[in-house]
Amino acid sequence: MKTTALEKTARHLRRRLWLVRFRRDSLRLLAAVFFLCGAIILGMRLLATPNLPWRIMFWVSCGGILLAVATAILTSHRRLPDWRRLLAWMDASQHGGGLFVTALETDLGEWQPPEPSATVLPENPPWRQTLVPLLLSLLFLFGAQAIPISEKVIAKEHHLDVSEKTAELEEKIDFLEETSLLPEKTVEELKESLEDLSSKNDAKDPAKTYELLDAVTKRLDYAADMAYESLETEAEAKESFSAMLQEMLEKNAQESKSLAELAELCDQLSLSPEDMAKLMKEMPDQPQLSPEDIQKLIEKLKEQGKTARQLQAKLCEKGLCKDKKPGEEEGEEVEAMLVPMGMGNGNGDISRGPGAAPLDLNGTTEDFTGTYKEEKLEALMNKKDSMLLDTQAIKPDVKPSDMEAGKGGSLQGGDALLRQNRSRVHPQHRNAIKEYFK
Amino acid sequence: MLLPPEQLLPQQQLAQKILDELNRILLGHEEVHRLLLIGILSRGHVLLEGLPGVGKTALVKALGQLFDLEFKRIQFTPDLLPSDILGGNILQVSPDGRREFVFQPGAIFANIVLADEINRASPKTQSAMLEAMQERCVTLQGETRKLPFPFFVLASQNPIELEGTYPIPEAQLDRFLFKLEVTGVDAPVLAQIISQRRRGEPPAPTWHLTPEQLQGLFDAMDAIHLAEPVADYIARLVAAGHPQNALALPEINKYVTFGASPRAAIALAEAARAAALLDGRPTVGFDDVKAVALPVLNHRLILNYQAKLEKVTTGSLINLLLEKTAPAAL
Repeated sequence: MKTTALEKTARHLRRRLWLVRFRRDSLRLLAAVFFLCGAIILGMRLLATPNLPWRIMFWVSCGGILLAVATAILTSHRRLPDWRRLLAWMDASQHGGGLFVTALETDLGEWQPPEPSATVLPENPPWRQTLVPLLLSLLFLFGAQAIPISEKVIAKEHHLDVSEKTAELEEKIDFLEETSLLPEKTVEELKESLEDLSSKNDAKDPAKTYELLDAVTKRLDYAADMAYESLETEAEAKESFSAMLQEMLEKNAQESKSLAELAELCDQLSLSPEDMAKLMKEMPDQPQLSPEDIQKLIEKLKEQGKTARQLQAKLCEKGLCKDKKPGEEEGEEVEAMLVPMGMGNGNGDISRGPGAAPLDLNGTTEDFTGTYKEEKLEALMNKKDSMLLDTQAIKPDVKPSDMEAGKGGSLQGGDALLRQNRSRVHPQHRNAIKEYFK
Repeated sequence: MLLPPEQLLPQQQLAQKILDELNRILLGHEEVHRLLLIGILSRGHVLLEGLPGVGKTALVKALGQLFDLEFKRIQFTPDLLPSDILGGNILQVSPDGRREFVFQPGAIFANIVLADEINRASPKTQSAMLEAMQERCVTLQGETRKLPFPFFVLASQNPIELEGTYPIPEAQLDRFLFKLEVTGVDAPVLAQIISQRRRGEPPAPTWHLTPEQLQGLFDAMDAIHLAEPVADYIARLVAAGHPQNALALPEINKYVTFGASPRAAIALAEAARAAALLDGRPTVGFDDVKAVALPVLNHRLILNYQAKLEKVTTGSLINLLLEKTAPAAL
């Protein structure tokens, strides 16, 4: 047998071996690729959109197949042994007695090696090992695309949109900062809290988000209230001071009482000796204030008082001090008295705790006893987005004759006690209800 | 070009005839006879290990009778001296009255030397064999004397007796081409021995191999072709037996202290050639290497204490090497 015949057989064996390896590698890689594609598709459906078009799966799979086939071609070719090595393998496996390999080195002469066979391969993995994973991966791929996924299953990681509220609060904080009504440290803390609110809140836990929002709002409101009170005091003091000075000017008498009041007012104004000196510097330094100087002081004080009032007005304008009218203290005092009695006006915002006034769902209640009325809340009939709030039962309007026990359907008699149930409105419904009551 | 069939086949037949004769003389050890002949054809020394009475000495004596070569026996005893083996200079008076030293050759100066119970001699005496076995010459008092050609040392040892014996040094062990285990025969063969051999004495050979015929066998051996892939296989096999080698198996790293030397690889190649000759092939095949790997490497792998504790033998490791080392390295 000539060397060329042996070489021919060895090369043929090499081609067959390449095919076997390519088939094995491609099936394995395809299985891996299909598993990967299935995982990608499943992830996309769970995280982005559950209704992924079939063409996405088709194109992803096509890309994966191309990649797997290309990789299999490269790997199977790279690891393919030289045909001479395959000839040696044939010599060893087919008991060639060394004649196959010797034929490459020297003339065999009269010796004839046994007929080499290219049917037996060095490796031939069983089908089961390569097909089963492939079939499983195909099943997984199709399952990833076809399995129904409910909207609720989607584990969306998104944030609650509280941008409107936080923008509003930021605007208020900026105003307070510009007018130096809020310390810098407080401003920073509030802004940091708002930033966290916007970016790190979790839609799955809205209660926490709204609680934090409420806390920031309350703190801001408190700071605004404090600023308002401070401005009020300052304005009052300056107005009083200017009024007093005006009176003094008119009466042209410096009484000890006025001086005492002046001293007190200076304290209230927190005019430090430096401030007082500064104020006095604007007037000529005279042992006794002339009427013109006093008039100037009066104007100055009125101006500062007006500035304080303007700031107060701006605070109210910005919504930092609700229901306050600068200069009107009497109304607030009355309100403060009526609120604990349950007779004051409600603050109208359900986020601020229970309202002082009974909730009027239909028209104006004539008196505080009210009339029990039943009304369906249309906006809340969609159970999907609502929850049952506890009902507030007030004292029914019963006739004295029906006030015996057992009547009126109450064990306590018709004269049922006023039931007050503090119902906790869940934050995720707060805005809905708030909108309803607007 | 390969040895043509008309030249090789007669040699193969001659070798087969030797085997047949040996099998006729000594019953029940066909495989040992084959390996012994391979060793002879490879021009190597053979160590026979077996229990007392299995026929080690008888085999070597039969071989010595079959081969028409000078045969000498050295019975190793603890008081044996190197000069008893190698010889020495003796002061003699010449006929003309002059006194001169005359070299008296020792028992080693023969074609076939039977070193019986070689492990009974002291290491000093055993080491006297080293140069002779490797270089086939003896150096005494600065003078080197060649040993006759061919020169074979066929040694025997008893594996069970430890009293009064000395283990053969690794350097001397490495000089033996083969270490053959001679086991007992089975019952039918024993019955045949008893019935056909009085006092167990083997029959004399019916013919003898002439030196020319032996030389013809050697020439045929020299013409056997060893292809490069087969040589590569031999090299990988020996390398895989070395711990910490890149090709070493985990079991080799675990149980072997020292692997086989390059001399083992040469011995393996020569023995594989002889195996191919006995099969009537002009080339060495991978199967020939596998057939002779065990007797060649058996005594060259030095095992550690862990192997002895776990009763791992060199035979099992060599079989593992043959199984795990692919001939073609695909």
